[in-house]
Amino acid sequence: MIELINVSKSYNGMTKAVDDLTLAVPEGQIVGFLGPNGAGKTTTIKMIVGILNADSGSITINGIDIKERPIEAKRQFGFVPDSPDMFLRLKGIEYLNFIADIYKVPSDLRGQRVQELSQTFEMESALNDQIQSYSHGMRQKIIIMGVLIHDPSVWILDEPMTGLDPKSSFTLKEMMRNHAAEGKTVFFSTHVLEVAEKLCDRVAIINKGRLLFYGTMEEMREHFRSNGSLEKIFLEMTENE
Amino acid sequence: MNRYIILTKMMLKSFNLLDLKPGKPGKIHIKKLLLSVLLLVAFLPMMFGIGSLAFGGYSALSKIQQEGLILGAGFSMSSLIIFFFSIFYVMSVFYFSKDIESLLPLPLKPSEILASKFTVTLFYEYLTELVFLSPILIGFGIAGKEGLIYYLYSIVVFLTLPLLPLVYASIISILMMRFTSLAKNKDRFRIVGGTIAMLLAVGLNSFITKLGNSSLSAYELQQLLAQGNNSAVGTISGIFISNRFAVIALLYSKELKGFVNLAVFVLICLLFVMLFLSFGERTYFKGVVGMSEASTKRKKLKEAELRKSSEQKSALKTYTIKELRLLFRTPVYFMNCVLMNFLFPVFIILPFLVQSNDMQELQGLSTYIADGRGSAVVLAAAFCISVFVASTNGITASAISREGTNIFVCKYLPVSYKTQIMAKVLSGMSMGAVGTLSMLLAALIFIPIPVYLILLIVALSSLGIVFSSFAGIIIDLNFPKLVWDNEQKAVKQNFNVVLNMLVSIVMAGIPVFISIALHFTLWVTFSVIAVLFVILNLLLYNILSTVGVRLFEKIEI
Repeated sequence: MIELINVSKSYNGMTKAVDDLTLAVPEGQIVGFLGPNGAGKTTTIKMIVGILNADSGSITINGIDIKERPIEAKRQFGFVPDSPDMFLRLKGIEYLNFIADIYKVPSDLRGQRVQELSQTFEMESALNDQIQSYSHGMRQKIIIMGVLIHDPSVWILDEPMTGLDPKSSFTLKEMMRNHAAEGKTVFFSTHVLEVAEKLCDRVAIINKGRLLFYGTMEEMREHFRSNGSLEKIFLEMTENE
Repeated sequence: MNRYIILTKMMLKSFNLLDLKPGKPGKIHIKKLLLSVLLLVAFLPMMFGIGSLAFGGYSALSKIQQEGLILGAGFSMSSLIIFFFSIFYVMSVFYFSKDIESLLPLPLKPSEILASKFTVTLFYEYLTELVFLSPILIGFGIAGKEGLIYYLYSIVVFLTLPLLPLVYASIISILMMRFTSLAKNKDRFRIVGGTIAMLLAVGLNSFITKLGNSSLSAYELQQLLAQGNNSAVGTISGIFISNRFAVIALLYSKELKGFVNLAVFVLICLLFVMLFLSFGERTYFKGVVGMSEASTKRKKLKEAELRKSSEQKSALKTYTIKELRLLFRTPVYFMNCVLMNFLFPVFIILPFLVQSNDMQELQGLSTYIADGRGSAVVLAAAFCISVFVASTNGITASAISREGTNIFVCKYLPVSYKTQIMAKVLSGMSMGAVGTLSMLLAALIFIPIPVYLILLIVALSSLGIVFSSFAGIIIDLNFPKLVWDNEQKAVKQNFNVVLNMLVSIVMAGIPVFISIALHFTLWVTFSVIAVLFVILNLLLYNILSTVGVRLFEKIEI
């Protein structure tokens, strides 16, 4: 469960990147976060995970306020940032162990998970190499594995499908579905409308920092009295701004 | 030519040493402005010292009409310092800079990219020159009551002098990278190559010094000096062959001879640049293409390896190990932050090996230590040196800056900022300890130091290393330099490191100076410094856990 109440953020005290945003991502659902470039998606996600401080409003994850109890709140989620170019000079296995130590995953459990995950994502033979030798998609995979290794109840993913091959993309989508089916939370941003249409229980559409729509696909079609695709609705909605 | 100018302009835009306007146009940080003023003030005494040395030397040497030696020595020293720094700069600007990947696909000639990068490096060297060379030129000019032409020529010399050492450093680096690019594990090879280049610079330096000392006998030198008329300028030799002409140009600035020599000086330098560019045209791309390739084994981990590596560690421990791994594996960090700790003993041992008659003086030193006051001085000096060594590695003073734009990772990890700060401090302290211990070992080879004194030195040094590490990270938390396009900018072109060195040396120097000046005994010296630094360290720890954590919280990018 992620809850944002009246959250605002401006840069330089002038441009409002996020404007009075209220949004609740419930348990057991996959919520997609859509919007054109520069709409405020990444800023919102960065505030949720504690990279940026909100100017006003409150953000809680599983009921824990990110500003007041940051460490506890950060333990609740796993985060995949939009660029996986980090820890490039660590080996894959060193990165996973680093993350496991940070999130206090016991030794026996992590060994088992490393094996399972590296098989699932076909990364077994890459773990002993430095991350800088990985392709973009492999870097993405190792970061996703880093999230899965500590098995958080809330997943927050910024453009997670970028660079993934079809099989890994499929696997990740399956995993997201299973995670939500277990009654846990998945929140991710994407530009790929088809993915959102097929995968999400709900979509939140944001433009210029303001929430334009939040609800299920059916609600959206009803709301806009349209039988068109998400693409058509999306383009109309964001252009009329 | 046109493309060269466009390219250079683009590269110089990121030439922002103090990071005064980090991403926010038009808004200059007052804190950072104050820092730059402070740094300038800190350098002024040193510049003034160099200047007055030149001034004083003039009146002494002009009596035997050999004042040209001041310029000669000044130019040689400046050239050497520039050469030494250039190895670092050239490596990082020519090869490790991130813009390489976006430049290679553009329709540019190797020499065009090279010329732009050379110019950028040249600008860095002008900053170095500003500190070392400009006081000499000015001091000499004032002492000799020189006219306008002298100062005009000085400006030309100032602008041209770094060319030759920079060309040398560039050629060495390009050759080195040409061969390391053949290697499979590039990072490791680059680390080795960088180490060799550094040792080469140190070795070359002491070789030239030795050559300079022995090529003339004392009698010959006397004869030469007695001739007057700046005859000794003729002995200025060494690898920077053009410097002699610059000296003559400035000495005879009022005559045609001066102008001719200036022209020769500039021409030689430009010729070398041309040679370098045509050399680079053929060689540069062979080393730089494929720079970003990383070695892979693509070998599965054995189950035993997997089990061994997955042992659970505390957040502090795992974070500290991560910091150290990055320091050892990133070539630029290794050369700047790690290698220096091992090189200091080399700097100390080398002169002794070159000049063997110093051994007798060392014997004298050990009897000096045996007597009570001697040991107090040795303890104080050792303490001072260890603080200096710890501060020069710059690990904590660049710990936040090194994160760069990836600082966001520190923000979402569920580890308190205090733990993260302490892990960074620990990585700096451990390397500082390595530096001090290797110095101590090197010293022990030559001087027998009694065991109790070693223990006291280790105890005091530990306090000093803690202090320097704490001070470093407090500075870096205040002025993190997060936007950089090559790693060199995070460590070498980061004034936080310089500032930490100044703070550490001053803070360690004052009590040491007092205890030596007041003839403290060994135990008084130990107690005074120990008590003072325990208090200071507790104070800094307190600041780190409160203000430091808040500063870390506030860093946004």
